[in-house]
Amino acid sequence: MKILAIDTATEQVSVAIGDAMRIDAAFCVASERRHVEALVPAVSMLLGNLGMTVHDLSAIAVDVGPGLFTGMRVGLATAQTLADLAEIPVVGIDSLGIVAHGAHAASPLDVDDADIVLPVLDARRSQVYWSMFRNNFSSTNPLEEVRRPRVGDVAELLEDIMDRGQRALVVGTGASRYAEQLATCAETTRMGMRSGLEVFAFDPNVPQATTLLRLAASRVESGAIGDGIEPLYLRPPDAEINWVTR
Amino acid sequence: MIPPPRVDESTVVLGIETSCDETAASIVMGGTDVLSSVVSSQIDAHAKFGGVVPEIASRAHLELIRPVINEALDTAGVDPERIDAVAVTIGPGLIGALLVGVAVAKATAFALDRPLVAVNHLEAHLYAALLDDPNLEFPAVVLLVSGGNTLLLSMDAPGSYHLLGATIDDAAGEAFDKIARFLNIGYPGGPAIDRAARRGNPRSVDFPRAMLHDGYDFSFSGLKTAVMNHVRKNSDVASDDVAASFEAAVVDVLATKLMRAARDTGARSVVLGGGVAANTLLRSEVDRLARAEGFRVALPSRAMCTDNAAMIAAAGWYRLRDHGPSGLEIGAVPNLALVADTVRTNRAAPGRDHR
Ligand SMILES: [Zn+2]
Repeated sequence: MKILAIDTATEQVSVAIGDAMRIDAAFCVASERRHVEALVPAVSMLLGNLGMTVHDLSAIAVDVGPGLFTGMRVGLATAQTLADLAEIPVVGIDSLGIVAHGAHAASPLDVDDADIVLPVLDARRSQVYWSMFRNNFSSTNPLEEVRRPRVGDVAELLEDIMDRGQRALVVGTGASRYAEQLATCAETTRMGMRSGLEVFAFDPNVPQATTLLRLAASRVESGAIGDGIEPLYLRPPDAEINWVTR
Repeated sequence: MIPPPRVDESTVVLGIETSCDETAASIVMGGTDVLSSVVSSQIDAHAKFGGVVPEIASRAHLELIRPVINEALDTAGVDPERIDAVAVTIGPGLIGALLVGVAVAKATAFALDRPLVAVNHLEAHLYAALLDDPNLEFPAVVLLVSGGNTLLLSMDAPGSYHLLGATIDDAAGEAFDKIARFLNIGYPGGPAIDRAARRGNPRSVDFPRAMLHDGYDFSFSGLKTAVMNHVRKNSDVASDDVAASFEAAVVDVLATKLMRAARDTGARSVVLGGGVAANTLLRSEVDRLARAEGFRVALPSRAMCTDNAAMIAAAGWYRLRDHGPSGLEIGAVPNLALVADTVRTNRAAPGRDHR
């Protein structure tokens, strides 16, 4: 049961093939805006090295965002098309869940100090995407989502954290970007929770597709595939008008 | 490695087009036999903005592309396995919109292990006339008029053409859209002007015909300003009359230069392409003038003039036959020029350059 995982919703193009037990092959390049160029050649290279074709796969997993709109669409369009033609299911996982579980896998000790883990991604225009996970301190289901992905400014994120009143660990590109604000706030909180907020700047260059693959594999194994994938934009389309006419 | 494909009259090409606000897919056999052509327009989604909003277009393409391709396959009665090649628009167009089509095309070509062909959207418009009239006689002159382009070309054969002239400011379709918006008569501008002009008097205002007798280049920005000034000074003027007079001025310039190019280059056929080629007056004027001088006239159906994927599949068939497939590493090129090796040849008007 091999899964192809595709993540192009961030600055990187990250692809992995494997199953719940192991990663057989992985590719990652920080390609900025060249997602469409790199993706299919990367998939081709990995499958080729494993002596496989798309018809040997049992599912395709994809990061559905939130993230870079254009990159995310490249990933969704590619994953869905490959899945359609190979007649296999496609599994969508949101980018924030990937970041939270990636941080847990990369540094479980840091995560172990926290009651809640907040993946935060830079959404530009002074905003961030975030969601919230409760730390179950268990090996079977370490992180459990308690708040669905949302978008807002850093002040709203901080309110969300303070409302929980628990030791929080903030990870992801948004955590690095707004580390100072988060730290300042942690010290001045009205609840006197000086140690209530820790900022852990998770390295965004960790290949995301390997985490995506593990998350998707457990979904596929438990039969919780869902019915189809939808992009997670969280923001209405930018209606800034470009006078393109026909 | 994919071996050089056999390209003949039985070769089935899937065409995919997502460069602007039409999501389109088509199955074309042998470069000319359109088995299906499905176009899903997003006009309603953009109407309230009076122009195409790139992010709205990109989102709609992602939603529409699968149903559109599936409908094209169903209508043609073709299984994916029967597809011999996948052709896709890589530019020019909106980057986010193009990327959806390119991603789907690459994944399709890869999964089916078939060649991928990158197609230039503008070049594809030149093949629209061939789809409606496969016996088109060359050499031909082609007037390609759309929202983004006003190009006058001579075409010796499919894939071989020379640029004679282009707009030095606004594209013809852009002028239609701007004037329609200014007159507040509807969106998209082309059909709105067309409808209003049918009700108005084209001789009510004598708008300027810029560079009418001067080379093959076009200029529409002065005309646009003249229309706006006229309406501001004459607040009681009927917008139908303004639309008709404006349209008459645009068509006069387009048709006059097209006919002169046909004479100068020794063309046998006169061809229209692009969204503005759906304009009623332009079609009737070009038809009338060309026939009077003994040229063959190719006026693609309105469905072939506006953006569609049949022209992409057709252009892909010729490109695959003459140049072979593209690599899977290709990307979208939003500002792609007509062809990199196009030589700008003002053959009939040596030394004239209006830039
Ligand atoms: Zn076009």
